[in-house]
Amino acid sequence: MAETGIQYESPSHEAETAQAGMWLFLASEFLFFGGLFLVWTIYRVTLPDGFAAASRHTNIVIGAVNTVLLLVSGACLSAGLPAVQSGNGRMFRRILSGALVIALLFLALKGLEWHEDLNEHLFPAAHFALSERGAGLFFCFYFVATFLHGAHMVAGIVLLLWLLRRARSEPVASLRMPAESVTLYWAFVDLIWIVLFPLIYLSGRV
Amino acid sequence: MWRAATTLLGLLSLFTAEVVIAVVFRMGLWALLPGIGMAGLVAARFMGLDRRENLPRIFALSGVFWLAILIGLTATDVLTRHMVIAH
Repeated sequence: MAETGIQYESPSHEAETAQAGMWLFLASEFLFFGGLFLVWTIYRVTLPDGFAAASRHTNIVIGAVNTVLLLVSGACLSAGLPAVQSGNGRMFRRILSGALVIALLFLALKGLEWHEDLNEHLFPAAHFALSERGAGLFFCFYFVATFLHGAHMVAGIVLLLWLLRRARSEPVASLRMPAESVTLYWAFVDLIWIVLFPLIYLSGRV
Repeated sequence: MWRAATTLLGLLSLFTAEVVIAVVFRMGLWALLPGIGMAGLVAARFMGLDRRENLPRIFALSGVFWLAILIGLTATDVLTRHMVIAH
């Protein structure tokens, strides 16, 4: 069992502080992505036709598969916490590995989707394929939002790898605090995608 | 395990609903409603807001509160202006 830092009264005090720190970070992230959602809302209201037309050019199949992947990975990590609490290291490592594979699959599909988008000249620069007013702004939002979400996924993958490494060398019961923090972060990344999916892929299907 | 499985089932049901609303009924903006439900379910079950102590709930509510101010103040500006788009 890891030692409690001298600044804490007890292990539970340390765990509560770590959780509070992670929640504070996530609240700031919520505002960070909130600004992005706000920009989408403003331009969806002022330029509805261009936004709807651009949304119909997104690949809903890849978007839907990626959503299911993220939901499953979130459920996996959530199911991993009882394994940590009961000291079942083997189960926890399997769950972490499964979540890692799913996360990598998500990024691979996202890369494929971006490749298709670039081939179809949907990047809002020279030779942009759509002529509707606002379509370029939609694809600005699309590329910025999916890049930022992808960057958070990469950070999550690094955290999963770090946790998996520790789970191989340490008793899993000592990993309760970092496991809870990483699960919390991963659920937040899920949550952001859950909001992004209808904004990007569904809102234009009217 | 049971908790995660039932939550996943709920999320997949809501996800199916939002895709059907948008693709079959062509009411894409209404698809945001099941999306909000999914976000709430993830916050409650995967992030544990339904069974944690009060401090994380305060952080979560603070995030929502400041975001509401951000969106509210901007919306009052945007929705009360007459915008003319140059052609």
